[in-house]
Amino acid sequence: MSLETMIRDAAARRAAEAPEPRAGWSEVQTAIHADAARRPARIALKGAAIAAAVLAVAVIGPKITGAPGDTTYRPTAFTGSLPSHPASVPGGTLDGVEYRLVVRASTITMIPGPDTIDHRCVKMSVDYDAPDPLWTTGNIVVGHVQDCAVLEGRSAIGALHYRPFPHRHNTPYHALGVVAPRVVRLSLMVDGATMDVPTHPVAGFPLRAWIADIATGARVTEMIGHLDDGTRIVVPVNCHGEAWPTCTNGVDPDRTR
Amino acid sequence: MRDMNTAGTTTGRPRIRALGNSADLDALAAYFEVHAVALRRFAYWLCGDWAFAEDLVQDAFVRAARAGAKADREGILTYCRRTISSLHTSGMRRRTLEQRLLRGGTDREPVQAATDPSDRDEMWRHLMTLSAQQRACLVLRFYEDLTEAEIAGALGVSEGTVRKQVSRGMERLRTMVGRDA
Repeated sequence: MSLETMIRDAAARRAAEAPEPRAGWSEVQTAIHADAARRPARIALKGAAIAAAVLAVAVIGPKITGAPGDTTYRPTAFTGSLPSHPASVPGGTLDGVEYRLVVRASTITMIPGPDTIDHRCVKMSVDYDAPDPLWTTGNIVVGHVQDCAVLEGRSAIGALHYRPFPHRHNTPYHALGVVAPRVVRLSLMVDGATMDVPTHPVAGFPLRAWIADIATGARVTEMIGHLDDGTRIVVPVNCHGEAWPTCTNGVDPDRTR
Repeated sequence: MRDMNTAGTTTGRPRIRALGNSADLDALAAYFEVHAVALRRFAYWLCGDWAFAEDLVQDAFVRAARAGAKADREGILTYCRRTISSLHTSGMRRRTLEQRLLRGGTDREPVQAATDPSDRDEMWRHLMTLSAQQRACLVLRFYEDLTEAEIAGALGVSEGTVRKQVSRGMERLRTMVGRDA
């Protein structure tokens, strides 16, 4: 038997054993509507990202200290501004919280400021498709944060991010995000119960990452950051903390069906 | 390949004009009905995982709806194949890192081909040891009977690359089959 025939036979056997699809056009349509609803935010963020990149290269590039892989956290490297709302022109505040850009080597991330502990969750409607700090270094990180909880003024950032389309899987899906280097452990209040989530250093990035299994439809109401000095900071999470399909990115999929 | 049916007929096919228009979504739904199975199979040749393949197909249709007329001009089937290929590449990076984070470590570990331990299909196991692109080239060539140009369009590479991948893939398979014999 020729190799070509063996390949054909192996592929045919695999194709014949294909399981039934778990979702059909209605799920795709729901995802299309949700994607369309995020379009203004995506456009605004792309604009903000381009502006930030131009600003970083042209204005503050020479002032950047630290090399890639440097994990020292120096939040005062640069102060800039981010959009006050994804759908509006760039400004300096978001829900009353001033934002600034922190530039470290070729990485830009954003943190809340000034030095206040803000126990509100800052609502940010942003794009799923933007570079993600967990697997992107050397890129602009503005598009990842689905919900940004202010943990500790300017020295902390907390993000809660759900992967889209969890309804297509029978398994719980992952919430993941980044926290400040000092947050060694995170607790999530999920449907009234506490879930402890360890955080891990991310090589080459001045943040720690976390990942947790959250059941579809579960509601995350609080993020509790445990700092290295034992300080415990409780941060309420707004409705964006609800897992799909209840509420994602401000879009209620029920309305789009 | 301008598509609505696999024979390449373009006349009378629905056109995608703009996102959100219900008529256009109906047209896209028609494409989905016709091509979803083939596209899912195409995605599977790349990733070796039916669930992930399904995700890739759905993501590709979301992108097609977003692209609207651009995707329509290119041909929905071609556009979706190319998007699946590109999403697979970026998706694999994500999945690798997620798996690593779930294991609680940060050390890089080699990506293992998604093989089923209970799988007794030797040739498929050999195919799964090839790179995704090599495997896709071989299966698309010998099982789906696509031309080199069609494979190149689907994977977003040149025809020369397709020829090279087919040749190298065959060479590796020959070695593996010979070793097993």
